[in-house]
Amino acid sequence: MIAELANFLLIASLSTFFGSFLLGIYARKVESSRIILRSLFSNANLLLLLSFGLFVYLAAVDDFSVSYIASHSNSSLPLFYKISSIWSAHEGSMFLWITLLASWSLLFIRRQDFAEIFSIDMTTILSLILLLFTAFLIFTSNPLERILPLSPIDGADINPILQDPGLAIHPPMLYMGYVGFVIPFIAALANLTTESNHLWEKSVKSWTLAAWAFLTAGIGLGSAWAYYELGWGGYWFWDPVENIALLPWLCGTALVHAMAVSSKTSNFKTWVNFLAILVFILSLFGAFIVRSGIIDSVHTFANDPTRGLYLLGLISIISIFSFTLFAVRGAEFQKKIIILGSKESFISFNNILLMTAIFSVFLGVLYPLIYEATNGSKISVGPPFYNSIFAPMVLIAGLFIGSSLNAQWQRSMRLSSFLQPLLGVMVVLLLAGILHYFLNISFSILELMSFIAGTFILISYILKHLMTEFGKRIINTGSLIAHIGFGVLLIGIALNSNLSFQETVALVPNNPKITNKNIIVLNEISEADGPNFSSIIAEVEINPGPNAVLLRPEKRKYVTRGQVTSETDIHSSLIKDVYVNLGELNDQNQWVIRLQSNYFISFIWVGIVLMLTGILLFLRRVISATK
Amino acid sequence: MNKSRTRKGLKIFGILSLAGLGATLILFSLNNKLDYFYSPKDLVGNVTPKGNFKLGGMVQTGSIEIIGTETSFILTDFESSVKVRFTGVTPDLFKENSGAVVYGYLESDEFFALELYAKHDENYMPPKSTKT
Repeated sequence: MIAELANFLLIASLSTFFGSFLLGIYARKVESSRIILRSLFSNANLLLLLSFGLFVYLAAVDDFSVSYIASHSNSSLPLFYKISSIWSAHEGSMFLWITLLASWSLLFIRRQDFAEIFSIDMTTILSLILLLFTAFLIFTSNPLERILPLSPIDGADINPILQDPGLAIHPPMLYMGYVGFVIPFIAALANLTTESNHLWEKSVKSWTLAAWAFLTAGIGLGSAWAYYELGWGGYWFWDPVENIALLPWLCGTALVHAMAVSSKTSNFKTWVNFLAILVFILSLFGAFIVRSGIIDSVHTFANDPTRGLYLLGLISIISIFSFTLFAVRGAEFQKKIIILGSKESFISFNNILLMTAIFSVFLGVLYPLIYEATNGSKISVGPPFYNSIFAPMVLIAGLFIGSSLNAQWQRSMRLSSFLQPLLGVMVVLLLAGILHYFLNISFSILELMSFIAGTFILISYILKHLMTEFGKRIINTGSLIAHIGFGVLLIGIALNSNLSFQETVALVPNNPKITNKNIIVLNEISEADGPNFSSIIAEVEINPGPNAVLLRPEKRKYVTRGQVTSETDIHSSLIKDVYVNLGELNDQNQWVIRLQSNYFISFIWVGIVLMLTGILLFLRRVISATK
Repeated sequence: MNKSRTRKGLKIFGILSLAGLGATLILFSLNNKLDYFYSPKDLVGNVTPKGNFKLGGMVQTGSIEIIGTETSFILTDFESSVKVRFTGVTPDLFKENSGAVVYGYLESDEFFALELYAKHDENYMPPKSTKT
C-alpha cells in the first residue's frame, strides 16, 4: 500500500514538474501567475521528497515486496544499513541523486524574489531538469517496482563490503556535491536568457562553495573508504570512476577561484558563466559514465544500454541547449585588461592549469573508447599517464600559489614582494637537500615535483602568516587553511609514493620470517562467529621486542551470500601505517600474509580535512558578507 | 583600426597554437603511457606484445594453486587460455569461474602478473560467467 503511495507521489511530482515548466514559460509574460509558479514548483519538490521518505520507510520496515529492497537489504541488518542499502545499487542511487537535487532546488528557489524574470527562468530550467530526470527514474529504473503476489520472505542482503559507515556517508556526500552545482548552472543560464546585468554570481557564490565542500568531502571519504575497507592499501587509483568525480571537482575549483575575480573586478564575467555551465555538465557526464557502464573499469556499476542511451540523450539535450545559449548570448566585451602580476593574473594561470587538467582527465577517460573505435584494439589509460601530466602541473601551480600571496587586485607586483617567495624557494631546496643527503631519500622526478610544490606552498603561507600577524591581517583564514591543506596533501602524496613498500610472506604459526626490513610472526590463528558471518582471525606480530606492533587481520565469510571479505588491520601513526592483510591458506598449509608499510598517509587525510575546513570557513565568511 | 585587427588576429593565433601544442603534448604522452588490453585469444599465433599489458578473462574452475606466496591459475576466454602467476595476496572477489584482470608481462607462454584485479559489478559481486 505504501509502495503504491510512494509510486503515486513520484508520478505526481513528475506531472507537477511538467506543469511548473509550462507555467514558468507563461509566467515570463503574465505576472499574476508567478505566485502560483512558486508554490507549484515547491510542491513538486515536496512530492518527490515525500516519495523518497516513504521509500526510506519501506526499507526500514523490510517491505520485501519491493523488488529493489528485496534484492539489496535483509531483515537481519541494523537499521543504519537497511537505510544505506538504498544507495548500494543503481535505482536507489538515482532516486537519492534526484531527491538531493530537489532538496537543493527547494532551498534555493524559496529564497528567490519572484518579481524578477531571472528567478522565473531559473525555476523553469530547474523544472525541466527535474522533469527529465524523474522521467528517467520512473521509466527506466523505477526503484518502487514490486514482486507480487509472491514476494520473498527475506531480502538478499547488502554486500558485506558495503556494510561500512564509509559507504553509508560517502555516496550521499558525493551526490550532494554533484547536484549542488545545479545552482550556479541555472543561475548562469538564467543570466543568459534574461540578458540581465544581474550580479548573478554573487547570489550563488555561497551555494557553489557549499557544493564544492560536499564534493571535496565525498571524494575524501571515498578515498578513505577504499583505503580502510577495500584493503588495496592505496587511496587513489586513477580509475575512470574516480576520475569522473575529479572532473567536476577540478571545474568547481576553477569556478570558485574565477568567481573571486569576477566579484572583485569586472573581469572574467563571461568565463565564470562558461565554467558554471561546464561544472554541472561534467557532473552529469560522470553520472552517465558510471550508470551506462560504457568505460571499462574495475568497478562496473551498471551495464544497461537503455539507461545509458537515455542518459546520453538527456545530457546531450541539456548541454547542447546550454552551450548554444552561451555561444549566442555569452559573448560580452571584456573592458579591462589583466595586469601581469596582479591577483587576477594569478587566478588566470590557476584556471588555465585546471582547464588543462580537466582536458587531460577527460581525454584519459574517453581515450579507450576513441582508440577502440579507430584502431580496433582495447587499451586502458592508467596511473603513469595521469601522474606524468599532473606532477608538472602541480609544480607550476605550487610555484604560482606560493608567489601569489603578495599580489593585489588590479595592480602589478612590486619587485620587493618577490623576496619572500625567494626565501621560500631557498628553504625548500635546503629541505630537499637534507632529505637527499642525510636521510637518503631520493625522489623520482615526479615525486620531487609534488614535494617541492607542497613544501613551497606550505612555507610561503607560513612565512606570510608570520609576517602579517603583527600588522594587518591580509589573507583570509579560509584561504590560508585550504591552501596549507593542499600543500600538506602534496607532501603526503610525494612521501607516500616514495617510501611505501610491501612484503608478502607465507607463514605457519610461531615460525618467524625475517624479511629485508621486518620480522613477521604469526602468533596464532583462531576462529570466531559474528552476528551474520564466521571469521578467521590471525594474530600477527611485527618486529617482536619493545616496539612490537600487534595486529589482528581477519577473513570473514558472510552467511547469506557466502561471500568472503578481508578485514585489514592497521596500526597508524603520524609517519607510518602498518597495514596487514590476511590472504588465503596455501597448498602447504601456510597462511599468505601481506604487510604494507604505508608512509605519510596521515598527511593525505590531514590535507583533505584542512582543505575542507578552509572551504567551510570561507563559506561562512561569504554568507555573513551577503547578509 | 586595421592595426588593432592584425594584433587581435595574432593574439588569437598565438593562443590557438599554444593550446594546440599543449593538446599535442598531452596526446603524445597518452600514446606512450597507455596499456593494451588483451584477451587470451589475442595472444595465440600473433606477435607477443612486448612490455607490460593487461589481460582479462575468466578464472578457469579448479585451476587455482597457491604455492608459497605465489598464486597461479588459468585465465580463459573459452577459446584459448593462458597460465598466470601472481605473487601476493589475491583480492577478496578473486574466485574460480569469475572475471579477473591481470597486469604484467608474457614470458615463455606464461603470464607474470604484477597486479591482479577481480572485477566487481554494481552489487560488488564478482560477475559470473555467462557461458557454461
